[in-house]
Amino acid sequence: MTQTPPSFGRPFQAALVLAFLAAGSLARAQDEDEPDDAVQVQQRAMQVNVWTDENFDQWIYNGRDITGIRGRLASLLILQIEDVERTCGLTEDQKKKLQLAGQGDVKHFFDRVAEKKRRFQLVKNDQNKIGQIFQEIQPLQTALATGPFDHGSIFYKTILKTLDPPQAAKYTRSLREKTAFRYRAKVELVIANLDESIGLRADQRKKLVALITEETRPPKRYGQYDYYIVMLQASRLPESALKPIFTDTQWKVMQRQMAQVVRLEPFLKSNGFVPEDEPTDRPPADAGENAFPNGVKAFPKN
Amino acid sequence: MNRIQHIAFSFGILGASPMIAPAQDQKVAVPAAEKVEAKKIDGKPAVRKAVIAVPAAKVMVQPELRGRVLGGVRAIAVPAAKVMVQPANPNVAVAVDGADANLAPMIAQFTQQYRPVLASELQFVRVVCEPTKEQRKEIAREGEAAFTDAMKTLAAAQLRGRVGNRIVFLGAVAPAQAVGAAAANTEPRYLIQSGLAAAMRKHLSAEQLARYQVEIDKRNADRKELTVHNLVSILDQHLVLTAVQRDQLCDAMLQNWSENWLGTMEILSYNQQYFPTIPDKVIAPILNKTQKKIWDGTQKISGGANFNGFQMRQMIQFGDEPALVGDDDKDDAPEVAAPVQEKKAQPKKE
Repeated sequence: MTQTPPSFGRPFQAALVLAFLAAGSLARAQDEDEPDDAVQVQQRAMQVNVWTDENFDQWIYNGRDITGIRGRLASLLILQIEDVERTCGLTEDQKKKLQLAGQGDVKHFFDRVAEKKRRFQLVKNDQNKIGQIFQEIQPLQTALATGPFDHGSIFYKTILKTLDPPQAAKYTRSLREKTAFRYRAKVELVIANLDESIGLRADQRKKLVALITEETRPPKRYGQYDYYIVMLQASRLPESALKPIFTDTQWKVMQRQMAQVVRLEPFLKSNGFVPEDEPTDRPPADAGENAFPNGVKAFPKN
Repeated sequence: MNRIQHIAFSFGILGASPMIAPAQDQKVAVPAAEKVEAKKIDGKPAVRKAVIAVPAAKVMVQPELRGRVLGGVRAIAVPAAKVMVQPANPNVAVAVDGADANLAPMIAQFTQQYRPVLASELQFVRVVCEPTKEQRKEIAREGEAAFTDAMKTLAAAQLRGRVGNRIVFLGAVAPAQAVGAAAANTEPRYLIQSGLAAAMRKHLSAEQLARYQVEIDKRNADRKELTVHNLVSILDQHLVLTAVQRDQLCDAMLQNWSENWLGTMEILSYNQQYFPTIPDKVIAPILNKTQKKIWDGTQKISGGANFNGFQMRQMIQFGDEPALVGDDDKDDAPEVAAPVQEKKAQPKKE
């Protein structure tokens, strides 16, 4: 069961605002010469509570037609297969398997969109539920942007089953580099945010980035709570490793910030963001617990 | 203005700041942004709390966030279409002259909102320059006055709709050199740093200032790098880059740096439907044919304008940080020792 997110979810709001911007829906709903009366105004606002199927399609497809969407997903699938082939080489048979698997994911994507649309149609006039729907479709938006071929996909599972050990080793190395790059970038961003708050010298930032990158693991899944996940894991590091990096004053603030983040832990855990409590030499990241049949970890330590 | 309002206003959704509402503890129906503008010059001097009904704005209410802050677009109905304006701290008063009287509520709001930035910047000076107690005291005292001026500038710019254009690349010691079009920059942290810079130049030694400038330069360089790293990471999610391509793209973007990228980075981190705007000459030579096709077919955004990048996050996530200065600062300027403590009205500055 998931918990209510913390109240300071700016990134979600930012995404929301951006999504609406992209939908081109911005306009002023009232003429200047209309009466300046709060009651009338609110009543009028209630009357225009109309969401349409077009709104839903706009949210998901961002103004593109279905042919264009299918073309985009086909291109994304080609990209994925090219990447695997470039990394470890593929036989024609392996390529076909991956192609089929990817097509299955594309079909599954459209099935999910159809299901969400049905749910949307049931609640589209209910202002209280529409926000929830919007939240639920965000994974679909992401899937459309980057392709529905992530770690839970048929495509990914097929890779795990199809590659032979030498191929798996090469592919693993490539994924590992990619994961490390992404997580380091995220940690750098977190430390920059911390710097804005407590004023860190360059050498302090460098030590913190190195320590956190080395001793913590990527979120199980990335998203709007990345900052908190990194800080939560930092809070678990031994004080003997962390404290010497800060001045006394900075450390006081850091401690308080970490204490605040720790209070979010139940929420972050229950919503599947936090890496499991495992040694850092276990596979991190949103790759899940997948591993190649030969025992090669999909995501060994960075 | 809280974080979500800030974003909404940054993108022009609500058109005008609700903080200009000239009423105390009352609801103001605002049929259009223009009328908000009209009300703000009514001349009511003080705002403690205002709740503005925004009929024009359609507000998307996340259930958990209902009753907090809402941005809006037309097509959405808002039964509770209110923008809750964060109440100004009634004990925060900023002396303004007659011409600025209408800005007072906004100045008070900004003063409260951005005081942690002042505290963190003073802390940065302390960590880097290791000033003596006397130096700290003078910088804090003059920095406070500069901070007040900065908040006035910010409020005035807000009314003109020109608040902050990007995250600042710091140049407090030599702002014109470091920032370029410094005069037009109303980004809050930049304004605060610029104000502090004058005090620092007055009270710190050349060696201390040099040390500070070195750190500022490193900070800027780090920010460029991390921005590029994060954007390339985002692109990697879309384009499935190779390790070599990632490196090439990092190099190319650093060589063709655009400050707008700072503003787009965070929002792109949470909304993967968009790409940052990167000139084709930078990225195209690095991509293969399939990647180029995806790149060409994806919507780009060129944020940065009116989006404050990093700096909003910490203040809202963690609020004020009274511990930013050490115990031995308690006899420094009181507002620095306790940056979020209530502050009485100060005499008008001549």
